[in-house]
Amino acid sequence: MKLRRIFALEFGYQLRQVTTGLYFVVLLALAFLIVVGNYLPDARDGYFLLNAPIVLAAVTAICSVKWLLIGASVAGEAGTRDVQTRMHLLTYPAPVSKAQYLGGRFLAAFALSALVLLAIPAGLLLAVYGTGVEAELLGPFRGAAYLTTFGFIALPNAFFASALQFSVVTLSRRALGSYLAGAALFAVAYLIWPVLPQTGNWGRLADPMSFGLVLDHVSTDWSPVEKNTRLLSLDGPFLANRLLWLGFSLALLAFTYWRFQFNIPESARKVQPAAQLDAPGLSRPGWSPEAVGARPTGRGTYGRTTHWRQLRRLTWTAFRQLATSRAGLPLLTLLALLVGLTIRGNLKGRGVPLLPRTDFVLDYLTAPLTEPASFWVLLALLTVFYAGELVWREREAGLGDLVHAAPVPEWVLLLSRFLALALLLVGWLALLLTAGLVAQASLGGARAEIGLYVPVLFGLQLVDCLLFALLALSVHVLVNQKFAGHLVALLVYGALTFAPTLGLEHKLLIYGASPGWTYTEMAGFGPTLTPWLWFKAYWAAWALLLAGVAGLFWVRSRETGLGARLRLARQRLTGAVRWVAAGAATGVVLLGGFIFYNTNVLNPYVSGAAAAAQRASYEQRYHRYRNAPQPLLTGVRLGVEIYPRQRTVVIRGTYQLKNPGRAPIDSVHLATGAGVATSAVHLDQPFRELLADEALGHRIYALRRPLQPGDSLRLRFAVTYHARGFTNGGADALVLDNGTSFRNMEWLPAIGYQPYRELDEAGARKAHGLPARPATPSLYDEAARRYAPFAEQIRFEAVVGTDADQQVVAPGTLRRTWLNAGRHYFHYATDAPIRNEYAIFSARYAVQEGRWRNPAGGPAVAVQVFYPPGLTLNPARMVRSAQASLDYYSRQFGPYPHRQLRFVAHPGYGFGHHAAPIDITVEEGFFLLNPEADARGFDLVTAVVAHEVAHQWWGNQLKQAYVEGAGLITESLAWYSALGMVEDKYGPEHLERLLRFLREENETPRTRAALPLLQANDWYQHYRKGPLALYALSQYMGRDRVNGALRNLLAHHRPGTVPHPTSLDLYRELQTATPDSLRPLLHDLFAANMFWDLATETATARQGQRGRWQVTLTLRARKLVVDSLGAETQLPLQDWVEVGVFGPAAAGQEFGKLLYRQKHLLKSGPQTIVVTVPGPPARAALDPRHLLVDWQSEDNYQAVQLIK
Amino acid sequence: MENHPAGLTIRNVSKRYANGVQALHQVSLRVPPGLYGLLGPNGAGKSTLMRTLATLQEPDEGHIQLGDIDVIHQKEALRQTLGYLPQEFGLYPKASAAELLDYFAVLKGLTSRTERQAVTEALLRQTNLWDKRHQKLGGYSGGMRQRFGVAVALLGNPRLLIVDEPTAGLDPAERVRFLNLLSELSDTSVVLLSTHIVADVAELCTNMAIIDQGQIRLEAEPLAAVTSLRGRIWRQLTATAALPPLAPEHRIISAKRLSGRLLVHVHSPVSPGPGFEPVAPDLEDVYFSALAGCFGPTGDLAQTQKAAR
Repeated sequence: MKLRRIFALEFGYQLRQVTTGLYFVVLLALAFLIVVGNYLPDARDGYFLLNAPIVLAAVTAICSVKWLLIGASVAGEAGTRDVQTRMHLLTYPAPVSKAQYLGGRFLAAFALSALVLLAIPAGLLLAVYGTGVEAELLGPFRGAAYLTTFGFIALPNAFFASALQFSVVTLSRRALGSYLAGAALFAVAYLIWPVLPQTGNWGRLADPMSFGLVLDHVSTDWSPVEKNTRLLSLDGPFLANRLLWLGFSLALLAFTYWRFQFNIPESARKVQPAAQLDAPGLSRPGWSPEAVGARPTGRGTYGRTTHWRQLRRLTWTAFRQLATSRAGLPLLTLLALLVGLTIRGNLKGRGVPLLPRTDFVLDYLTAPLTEPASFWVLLALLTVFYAGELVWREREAGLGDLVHAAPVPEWVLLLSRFLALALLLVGWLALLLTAGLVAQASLGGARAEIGLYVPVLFGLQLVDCLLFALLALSVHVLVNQKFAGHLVALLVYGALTFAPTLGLEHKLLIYGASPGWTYTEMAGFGPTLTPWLWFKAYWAAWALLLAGVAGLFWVRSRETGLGARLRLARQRLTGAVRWVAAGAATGVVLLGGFIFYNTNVLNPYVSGAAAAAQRASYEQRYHRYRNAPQPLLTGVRLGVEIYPRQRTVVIRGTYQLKNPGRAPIDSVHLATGAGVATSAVHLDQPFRELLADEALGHRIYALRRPLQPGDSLRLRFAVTYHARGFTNGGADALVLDNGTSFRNMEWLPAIGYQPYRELDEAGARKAHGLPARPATPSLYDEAARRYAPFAEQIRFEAVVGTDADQQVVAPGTLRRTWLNAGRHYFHYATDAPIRNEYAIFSARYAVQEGRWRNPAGGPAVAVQVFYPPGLTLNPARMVRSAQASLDYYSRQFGPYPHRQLRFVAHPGYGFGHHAAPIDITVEEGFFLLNPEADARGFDLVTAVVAHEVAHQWWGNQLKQAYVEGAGLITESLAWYSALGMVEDKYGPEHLERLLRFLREENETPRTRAALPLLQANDWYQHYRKGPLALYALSQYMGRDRVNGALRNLLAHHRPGTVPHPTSLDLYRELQTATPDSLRPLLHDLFAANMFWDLATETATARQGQRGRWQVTLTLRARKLVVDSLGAETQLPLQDWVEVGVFGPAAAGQEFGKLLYRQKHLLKSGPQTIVVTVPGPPARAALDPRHLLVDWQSEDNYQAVQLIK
Repeated sequence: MENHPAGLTIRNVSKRYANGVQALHQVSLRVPPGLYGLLGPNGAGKSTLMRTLATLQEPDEGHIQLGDIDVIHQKEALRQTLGYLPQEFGLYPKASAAELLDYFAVLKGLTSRTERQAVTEALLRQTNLWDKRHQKLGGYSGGMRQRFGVAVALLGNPRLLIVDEPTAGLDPAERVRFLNLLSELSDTSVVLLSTHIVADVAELCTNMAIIDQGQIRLEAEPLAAVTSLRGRIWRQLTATAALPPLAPEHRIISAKRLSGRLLVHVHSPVSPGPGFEPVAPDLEDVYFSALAGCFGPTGDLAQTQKAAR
């Protein structure tokens, strides 16, 4: 009865509060926006139905995590209102048991939270059925889907969160604890999610909100059919998670019940004896009689000096209070420590440690506050929290009237808070700096550059922090209600973070936004700093205005009504304020105008939507010319002048064109580059310009006399790039002071209609009225086999001039270099045709050189690595790998047609490569990889170089058609080739490590639903499953047979011939090479999405005669085919599978000596195999080398039981 | 200027809150230098008036002048010479008295360190907190807190000192000393003391006003007000049950239980009848008469006296 009354009072009291309704509305809007903004486009692109259970579940998971920050006041209030309002003086002595008192309040908090969370299904229903979504995007309405997601995600989350928040506030008696607990849960959810693939099951258990677990169903581990139909069910890790945290919550509540005391918080503290002596009484004088009348005469002085001194004192006091609170410097120190500990794990490229160079450490340590994927989100949340504390501290302590009646101007009060927050942020950055330095020192191998740390952290990053700090403070001042202030500040933060998703892209409209800066040792800040500074200055002017408004509305009066505040603001709007505001407004206008001039006048401003519209209209207008006969590009001569410091490039080019067909050609279509001016187009035959569409980059030239089959034509043009100012995205980083590189694909004109410029996403195509088509053409679309972008074979020649101290790299042999008029010129020409894809580089490089001479004769190949001076860790290793690769590939697959092979550094934080003919682009980070420090003992550098060199065959000689499965004959073949090279040149141990590296990806949970490898369409298939399948095949039928098939593939598809090869051509060659007995395996690996389920159940051994042992294995085997939607069909198994037996492992080794390995013909189901081995066995395994596709590979192995 | 403190003039100040409560209605007062008592029951509008004088609230209309300072529009100027002791206030529990007083000294414009030290020491001694200046404020008793508040209010030698219900939490001895202190201070400044305890005013104030329901019921010197009631207050000791029949016929200004019976004071220019005996009025009778409306709606003492003649 009492419990019910306590519950009812709490529930009713909070229900009547405006904030409760506000929470509901905000959450509803959030759910609605997430569906409409995020999942609707995905549904239009065909990933799932909009009302698929998993979509509902994902939205519920996201919203319930966001709710942690929004709705924390519910539990906070329930737990502390009595103490806050001092009503506990009445309630505590009342004859109520702890269970009734706490139980009623907790249950009310939980019920209210559950009620507020009902906004999620409400928002879902509104978004799904209230927005006129196309009927084909919707499945049937299923109440169970809403009930299960609410019941399994939202409700338990509300319970766990309420229990934690309620316990924290009840025991600490501070409502704020609720926010901190909510923020902690929020942080845990967002921190665990990205690392789930590495953590395995404990990660799924560790997050009380089971956030990543649900979201991963959408992204990786559910098949399309499951996504659309499967209801979230309580089983597996999900059930374990729910039960674990339910138990934890109950235990926590029990603990709270045990610890809670009905006593007055003040009296719970130890009373100092001095206070007790001061019992009021006549015997002790309350006032010092002799002092009365001796009145102090000091009077205040007023004026600017006093104001500054007051500012200093107020700032310092506010800072000290904030910094010494538990959520101040102690928390920040803890955070910095955590960040510091994660530096090692994050300074890695594909698991290989990096040299901790300062620029890369800083890239990890800094991010805009609105970057959702970085730890700075926590700092943004903390800033909001600190701002609330600073604005409210005095008033909450009851000092408000005393302070506000003191002669301190509003601007001093406001500015002191801002400076206190700024000091705290500076403190945080100093902690971060320390974390970076310590991490660098402990990792070793790189110099700590204080001269870089300081400007980046205390210049760039601090400005970002300060702009946001001022915003948070202003919001708190203007809202003037602490919890509502937190909520509004969070909403503002969310709006800033997701502004582009909400359709707001121009950074002039998003508070604090600017293009990002980058700094790498090679390129420095390059041109990224200037636009950053302009945008920040513009936002600083806005911030000043905002501060002015906050100052005008600063509350020091007891009256907080809007009318009263407006009246006061008008009173405060004095001359000085007007001048400051006018100055700031002028700044906004002038800086904004300058930025607008740069982003929208000097450079075209193209929003995401406008860019899509352009691509759509390109297709609509010019697709009809797709099959118009066009001349073929056969030769390119360029005269290039690069002016790195002026960020200008002038290119004069000549294309040699030829009519390759049987019909005369009457017009030439030219696709011009974006971001450059193409001019002086001239044909060496009489012609007329029919069309010049500058916006879409398409021109048509009519030939007076049609070009007859076999005849040639020469096209001259000029292309000028001149960076003018900056764009909304910043300054483009093609032409840099050091590290210029540009590609023909972006800048130079291409012949004919360019299908790669079309829109691919189904939803976008539909929105623009384009006919539906698959994003990638079907493998069986024969017409599509005639197209591959930039597949022409050309002779290339270029004379390139650059600054005197720079070096130019271009395809071909460097014929000559000379200096002229203070500039450095380079003349490059190819000796054999290359594919029409090339880049031209200019920078200050160091060069590592080597030579490779083909044992079969022919000219030597120069292997060169152009690397950033000083990064000497890898170039020699790269040269060795390239030499070995050239040797192996040319022997296995056919000759290397060029006389050079180059790796050229490109500035950037990445580790990637791009293998154009002859010249391979290498991102700067690759040179920082330190394979010697890799705990796996794995040399990624050598392996990746081998992979890239293999692209000189797979991708540059064999040019795949632009259809499904294209990745199989480029990336898969490149990794497969690298495997062979590593085995031959570096030995089986290196091969085993590389294979293990490739198989690491199998441990990441993902759906089995997929197309067969022949239609491979994702990264995992291209880079992991494909090479492993080819390797398995080579182990079954011999590497030479597979390599022979590849050699034939290359021989049958010479460069420059159409139709272009597809994965079907590879399959045909493999079929030819495969003996009949292995044809089914070939099919299962490539033409079907087959999975094997192999396990060794028991293994026993009995000693036989003469040291021989008889091993008996009971095995289980089955295989199943999974289609692209996820339907699984079990098939009878009749396959040759390896059986292996190993001797005892030496200390520190995983396996002992291999005693036995033979293929056995297995059937479906349980079976027994007996083998004899020549020594004592310790472990036995089915498919010990993991050749077949079996993601559950641990159960392949079994320890052998020895029977006496 | 300190020798000739300027008075405080309040003219036609009105205030209505957003919830419809008319907290002040056309309040006009002339507060000369000295100790001035503002007497009124709880909820009469005293605190609203005090906060308005302390620049923490805006009146809807009216004008307030302290010497040459327009209180409503020259808040900054007023704050420089204002001492304010609010009815309720809190302190940072973890700060010491010396530390927090020093902090407030800076806020009050005492930026010279040596001067500040002298002033805070003098004030801490004056309020008898010197020995406990390093103790955390969280451990202070109610009286000590109040004294600390006075020390804060006295910083900077204010010309206008506003003390809102300061004696509520004090024991009798402390209360007396506190009032003595206020009295001392009133030599050089305007000290406005709001209270609902008649005795506070009776003993020390040279001037007073009685406020009820947002209106000034009486503005007078306490002694003159008592004198004016001479011969108009009558009392009767009745059985408890007798109160209701009395009510309509007489202007009862107060009724107190006394040893199981009821002591009734009645305001009447002539003898209200048998059973009543005249009584020498005191300030409490003035207060209750004012609340009962016996001084007329304007609260002007002279007017009432004239009408009575």
